[in-house]
Amino acid sequence: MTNANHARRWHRGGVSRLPAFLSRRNIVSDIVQGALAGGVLAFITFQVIAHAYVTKVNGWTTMFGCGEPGNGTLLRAACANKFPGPINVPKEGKFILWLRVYLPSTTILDGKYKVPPVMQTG
Amino acid sequence: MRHKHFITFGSVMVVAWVAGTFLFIYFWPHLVINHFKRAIVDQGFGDGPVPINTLYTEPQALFADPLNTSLPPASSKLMSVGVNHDTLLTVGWLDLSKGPQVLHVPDFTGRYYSVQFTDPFDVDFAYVGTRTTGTKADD
Repeated sequence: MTNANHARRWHRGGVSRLPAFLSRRNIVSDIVQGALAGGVLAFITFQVIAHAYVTKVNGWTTMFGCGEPGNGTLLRAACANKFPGPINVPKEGKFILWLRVYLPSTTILDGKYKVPPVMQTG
Repeated sequence: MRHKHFITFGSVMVVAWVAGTFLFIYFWPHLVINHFKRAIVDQGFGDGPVPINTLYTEPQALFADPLNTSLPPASSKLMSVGVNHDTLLTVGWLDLSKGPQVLHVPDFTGRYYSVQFTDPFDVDFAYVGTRTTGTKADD
């Protein structure tokens, strides 16, 4: 698009075609809206990162290494996001915490996935 | 400067995006544990707030039927929703800034138990219990 066409696209007869709330922007609204948009994107990015640590088997969800000292800032945040609360380490409980979300219309004892997979915790 | 506003908006957004992501990653565990701190220290589990450096064991009724036991309105639901039905819970918030505390455990006569110490960033840094220290009485 040439500069002339671009100018014609946004201005016609010297009158801005931008919506009113955009044409009345000032530096404060730019900063506030940028911060809000950045915050939302940061939250979404955090959810994506946390989800990357999830292990899913047969519809059951877990995450390895939660609560372990030295497990790293990222994994710690992911665990706190997906498994809120001070859950114990697998070798202490001799089990791995598995979660499964059921819709109200489904039955928990569906025969196929009624128990989570058995795994050696070490 | 037709794009001045978009440059300002975009710059602030990128900075907030990057900084916010780091803040979420670093402080999210702390926020979650702080929720538990408020539940223990401010709300309690039916008998009022649990003082700092005090251990509180859930009442028998709550242990027997955590989902259907009615608690006072100001109480926390953390002991009644999403907990194991076969685990008797004892909780407490320790503040060791004014000095150490001594934990005494009775003789569990071989029964399984586990005392988990979790720091404010959701790391289980120590355990006392059957696996680590045995079931004899000790301090």
